[in-house]
Amino acid sequence: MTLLEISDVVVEYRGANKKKVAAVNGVSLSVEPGQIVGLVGESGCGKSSLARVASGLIKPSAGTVKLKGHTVSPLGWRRRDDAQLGLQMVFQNPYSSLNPRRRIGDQLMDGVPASMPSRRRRDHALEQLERVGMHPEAATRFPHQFSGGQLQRIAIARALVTDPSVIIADEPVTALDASGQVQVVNTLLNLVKELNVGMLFISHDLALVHHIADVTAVMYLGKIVETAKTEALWQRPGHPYTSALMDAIPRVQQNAKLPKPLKGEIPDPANVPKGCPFRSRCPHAFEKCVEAPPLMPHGQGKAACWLIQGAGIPVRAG
Amino acid sequence: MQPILQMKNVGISLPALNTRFDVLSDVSLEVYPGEVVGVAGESGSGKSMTGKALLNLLPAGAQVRGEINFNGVDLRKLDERGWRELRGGKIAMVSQDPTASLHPMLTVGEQLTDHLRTHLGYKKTTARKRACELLEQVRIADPDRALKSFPHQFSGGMRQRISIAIALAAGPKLVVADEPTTALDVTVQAGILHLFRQLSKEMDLSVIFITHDLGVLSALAERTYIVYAGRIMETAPTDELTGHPRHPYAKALLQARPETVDSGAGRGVLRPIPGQPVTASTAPAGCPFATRCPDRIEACTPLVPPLVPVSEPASQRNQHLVACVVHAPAPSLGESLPGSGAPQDSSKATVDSKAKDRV
Repeated sequence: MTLLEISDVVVEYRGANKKKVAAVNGVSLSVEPGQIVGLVGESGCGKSSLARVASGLIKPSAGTVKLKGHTVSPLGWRRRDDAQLGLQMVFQNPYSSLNPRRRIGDQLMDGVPASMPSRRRRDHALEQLERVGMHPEAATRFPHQFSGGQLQRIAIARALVTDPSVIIADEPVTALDASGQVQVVNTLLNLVKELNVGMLFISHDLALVHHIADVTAVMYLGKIVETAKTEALWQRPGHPYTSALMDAIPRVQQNAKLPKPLKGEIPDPANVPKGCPFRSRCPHAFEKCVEAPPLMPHGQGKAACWLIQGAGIPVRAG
Repeated sequence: MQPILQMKNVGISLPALNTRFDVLSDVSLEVYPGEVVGVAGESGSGKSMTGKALLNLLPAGAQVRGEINFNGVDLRKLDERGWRELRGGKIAMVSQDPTASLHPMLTVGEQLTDHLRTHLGYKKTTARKRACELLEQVRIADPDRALKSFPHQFSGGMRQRISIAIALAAGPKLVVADEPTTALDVTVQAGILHLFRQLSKEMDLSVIFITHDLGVLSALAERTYIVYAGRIMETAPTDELTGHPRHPYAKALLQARPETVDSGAGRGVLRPIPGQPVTASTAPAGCPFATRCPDRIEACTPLVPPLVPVSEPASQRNQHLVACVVHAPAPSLGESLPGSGAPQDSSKATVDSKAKDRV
């Protein structure tokens, strides 16, 4: 059975003129145990809205999220179903997601399952700290005594104390600098292997997702435009948007050329162009694009672009 | 060619309760007309302070040591009146977050023309005309409409273009860009990088591009300085630096990038830099990187390694300097060249460490 199943999720917000704006428009994704699913896209594409739905923080306007077959309902005042406790989140900014006035240990202890016998509770929390490579002594300290990378690892430990089966990480390394990013990425990679948890890793950095994810999904204007095994996606992107994202990554190399910008701006989600949403910025747009392409098989993955059907039209120059 | 900006052994200290602490220990850098120079380092390395010192935007009570020469003017002797003319006039700044640097309640036109009227004494109508040209120069479509709009009506990338237009308004010789693309998406970042390249060519503008992303500098900057704990660790033309880094810190920074590791087949392992970064005030005596360095030897402490040339430079401008006792060539070469800096005498190092004890 699929661990986390997101099917046809729609998230709508009320716009300025009371018009409904769909931030997420019919997204389906699944996460298996021991798998990292990377979700990439520009800001405003709806990836954070999707994360909030997936973790049960907000209610989708349509569609369902299922964890091990149980429907995930948004948090309310009532106690959450035991079946849903396996869903944990790691947020972008550890400086604000950890309470500055409480000791790390106390914050970790909050999450220890109530069913655990009291003499095991403290040890259980300390074990998670060690698991993310932190000294157990950290439990007696306050958040300001750590660097960003360490704090984010503590935030991961806090997610782990509940024995989660799925971790949703929304831009977990964006607020950190190079060495902090590496610490956190390595920690996450080890955890997934060791504990066999599933992870939805959300980022705008395709290079990072390439490094960490088994499966990559590319999102544009509330829709998934391409999804495939990471290696396959990297070698043979099916959607022009995927290639554009790849071309824009700045690389360290000799006689490097400036990364290629993508023309135009992401359209206003309240005013999505008819047909293919990427049409207005696509270098390969042609007549057929006035019709919205569905996700179609492309190699082992899927892409929502008419070009892959015609085959022979070069999607990626060079 | 003469450099337009020359910083020599610049240090900055800030006041604390009963003492002072360093945010910059010893930075020397040069910028030539029309070139883009990269300054890279982790957070806390002092890279932003370097930029702020050039505009006298340091926090209250900051003290600056060393020499800063801009276009023949000694910036350290400037009074507030002089700074007002220089800041925004000859040296401009583009900051990381355009949402914070633009005034939310004034239209783009008001903010742009304000600048033109103050610095260049333009009349209202000419200022407006010039503002239009500036917006065109930073590739904003429909500049007339943009002038009447407020910052919140633009996307992040457009806002950054607007703040670049404001920076360019008075025709500066030097722009200090402090992480101008960090808050933007990669696709938008690429556009801004192109813009900087074009502007520097078209207007013969010098740019100091401060960032933590060496990938950004790889294609944009002609030369790069690597800063750590308020000191220059290594500097060279960017291609040479990324291709043949000498300093263990420069190597470590390059290895921490996902895309360098993934260039081969399969998924590589990202190598974190061990230990915690130190700042100028917490750095140990000697090489500040010694505590995290895999190649550390005894000679790394207690003297700070001087910046020495790696090879006989083709020109003063393009020399490759490294501050490392392990990876620098034989000392004879270092001593034979003037301006490379002799090892700092130990008396100063001990004074520094005493100052640290008080903190």
